Amino acid sequence: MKRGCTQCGECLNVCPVYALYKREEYSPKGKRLLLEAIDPEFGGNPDSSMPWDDIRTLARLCAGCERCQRACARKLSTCDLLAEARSRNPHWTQAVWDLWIRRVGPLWPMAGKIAMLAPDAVIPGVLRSSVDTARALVDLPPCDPWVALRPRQKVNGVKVALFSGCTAKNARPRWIAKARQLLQGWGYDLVDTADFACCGGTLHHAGQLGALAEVRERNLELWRKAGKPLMASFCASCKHSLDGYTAVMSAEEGKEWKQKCVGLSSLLVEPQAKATGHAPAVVGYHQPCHWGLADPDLPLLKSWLPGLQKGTALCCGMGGILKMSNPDLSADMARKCMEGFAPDVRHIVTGCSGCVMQLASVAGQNRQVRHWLDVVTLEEDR
Amino acid sequence: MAGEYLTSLTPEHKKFLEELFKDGVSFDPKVLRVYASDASLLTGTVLAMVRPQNAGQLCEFMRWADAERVAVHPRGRGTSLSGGCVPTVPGIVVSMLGMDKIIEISKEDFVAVVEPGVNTAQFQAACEKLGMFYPPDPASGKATSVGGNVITCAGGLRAVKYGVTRDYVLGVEAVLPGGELVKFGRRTHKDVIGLDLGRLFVGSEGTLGIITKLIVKLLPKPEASASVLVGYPSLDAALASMGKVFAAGILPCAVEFMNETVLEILTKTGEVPWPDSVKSLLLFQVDGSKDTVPLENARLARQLDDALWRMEGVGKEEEDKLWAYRRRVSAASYVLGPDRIGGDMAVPRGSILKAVRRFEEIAASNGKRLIGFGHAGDGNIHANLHYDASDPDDARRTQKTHHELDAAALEFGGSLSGEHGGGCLKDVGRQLGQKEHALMQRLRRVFDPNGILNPGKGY
Repeated sequence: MKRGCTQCGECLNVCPVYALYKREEYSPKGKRLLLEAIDPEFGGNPDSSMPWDDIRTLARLCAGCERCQRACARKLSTCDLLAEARSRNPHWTQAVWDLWIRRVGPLWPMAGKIAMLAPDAVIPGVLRSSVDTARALVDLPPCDPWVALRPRQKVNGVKVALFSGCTAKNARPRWIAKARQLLQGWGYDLVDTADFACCGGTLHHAGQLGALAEVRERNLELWRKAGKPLMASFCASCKHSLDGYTAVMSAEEGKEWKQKCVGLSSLLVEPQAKATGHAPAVVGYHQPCHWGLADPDLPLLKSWLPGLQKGTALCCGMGGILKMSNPDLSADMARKCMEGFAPDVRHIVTGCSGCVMQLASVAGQNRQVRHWLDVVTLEEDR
Repeated sequence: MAGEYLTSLTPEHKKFLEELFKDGVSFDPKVLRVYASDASLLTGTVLAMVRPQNAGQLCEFMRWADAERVAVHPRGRGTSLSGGCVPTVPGIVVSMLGMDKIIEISKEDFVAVVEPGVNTAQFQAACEKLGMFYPPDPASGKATSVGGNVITCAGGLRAVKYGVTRDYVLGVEAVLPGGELVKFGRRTHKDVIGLDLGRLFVGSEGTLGIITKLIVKLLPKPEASASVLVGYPSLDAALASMGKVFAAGILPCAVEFMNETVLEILTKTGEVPWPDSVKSLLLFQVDGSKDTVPLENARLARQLDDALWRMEGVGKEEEDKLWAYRRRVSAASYVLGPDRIGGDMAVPRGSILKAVRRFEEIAASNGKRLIGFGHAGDGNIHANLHYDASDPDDARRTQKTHHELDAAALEFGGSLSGEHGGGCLKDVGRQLGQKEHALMQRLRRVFDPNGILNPGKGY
């Protein structure tokens, strides 16, 4: 039997949902106590006096940021526990989530354009945050690059597969082109990987464990067939999900996978950065929760952009399926996240596709949120 | 005793609470679950949770609760290891997290005025931003509230130099059973008029009233600090070395010790920088001005010349690396069993070695290992026992060991608890004299004639 929450309370300060409500019941420990009581692995009973149907609304107020797991003395993951509960208690909405995530990706930009057409005045309050998110799917016009990069020395003969993720594939193909350009500029041998499926992160949170197993197997098979190249990701959430694949791999292969799954920026070794003169004096950096303790982007961005200021808030609310299961709470978290930037911060960069979409949906007219790939260029191309 | 209290709420009671607290009240069993327990993992029965936003609401509530004979269980962040937040009889939990404002940090008066629900670490950080320093530093400060610290008189790592929470409380505003709002103390660092009833609330474990505002003393933030992690062949050698440090007139701001079992579990659960010959560790920190810290550090180093190994860190970033080993102890301990009973006995500083060795013997005689670490500078020993609750024999032996450790602490002239409080777990009658215990109970009745506050807890 697994041992559960010790109720030490270390999770309260790191939980973005608690930060909004300041109520213990919304903290990870509050939700764990309910979820563990119905989870047989923790000695719970699914037929307890408070079954899933009763606790569902409260227990699923989780953005899946995993900050609580890092703070936990037992390293317990509340979002995993929630995923297990969802998996054991299927709900019709999960099929809708699966459909949105896996099947209709190519239609996301169209959804965004339709949302742009709706005048603000006619959007009912309950749909406001969903419409804002849909609008964020429509790309901002490109900006002049702030930094031109080139390698001091090229890396030759190293095979890399680019794992782009659904958002880039469906709504921001420009990021893929930029990432490929940088990797090629650095001399990496790019392996053709257009066939990668969704990383599975959102499917996991939705409790769609069968669907997760499907995409995971497909991605692993493609990696194996390609000769086990490095796997570069420019989305912290995708990288986080890929890291989780080791749970079903042999110890030896899992170790290799872990070594080879890397953030794109960590492959841009020994970069020479030249300011183009287009960078704003002050730039905000939103640190994606899913980088955990090893954010490869921040040190590089700091060295390229001297005016970079890290936001002080917690999760933007895009993680997990909160965006779909409780869009208003998710949007409140994004707004709280924006409050963590100084008022003079007009431009925010980050390294997670989901965070870009989420923060863009609440950015308003005066702020722009971009992936860092949008603001760099390869010097050779200029 | 339970018969004296209301055991369920009528629709009229609920209506009263809803009108008073609006959305700051809950009767929903899902919500109440988290308020039924704390880090002791004990559980009680919660009739309702209320969340006051101001002292006025709390006055009205306490007037009503006293008249209706409803047991009231005040609560901060629910981190008590001694069941301090667990309802011992069915009652209403008062969550103070809705009152978490830092009202003022005064650089002129060196005081801060806060509401009790403010998180300890966030309050400390706010003080430090202004160059001020709130020294009480419980190891769980990221999780606790200042109000909870006050009500238990939390100690912490820096107690050896800076004292405990009691030493920083200048003023207390509280609501008594019956609804009266009282204010003791003021924002002066000195005040000898009348009885010091404000400080009586410190460590009172929520038995006298519910604190609604605190005035605490601040110090200037020390400019600099340095730490050194020092390795010895045994705890005996380590504590002998610590004795030399104090004898030389050096007062570090923290001195932590770790016994042989702690080093074993740290080595088992992760990378460690010390050689195999190191079996026990001391961790010192000194602080002060930029000019004095290097001098103090050098004095300290001279006294530690008998160490096998050392690692030094100057400034937060380097020091954090050293303190990370101390912080790892709690999580690493689980390799000795998935469940834990924690002890926090305090003994006179000169008795630490003998006490830890005695505790280890007691543990071994029950087939257990003692994870012994803590604040060597003030004699506060964290004596943790790990076990498997699903093994009844292991659970029994562990409980037996824990009780025997309490008895041993008293033999050394020590206290059953240096930090966590009696809560509803400690048999405080073992430590307190009969007359003295009775006097405490009579005093409690002066504040709470009907005994509605935290019945069965504290003393």
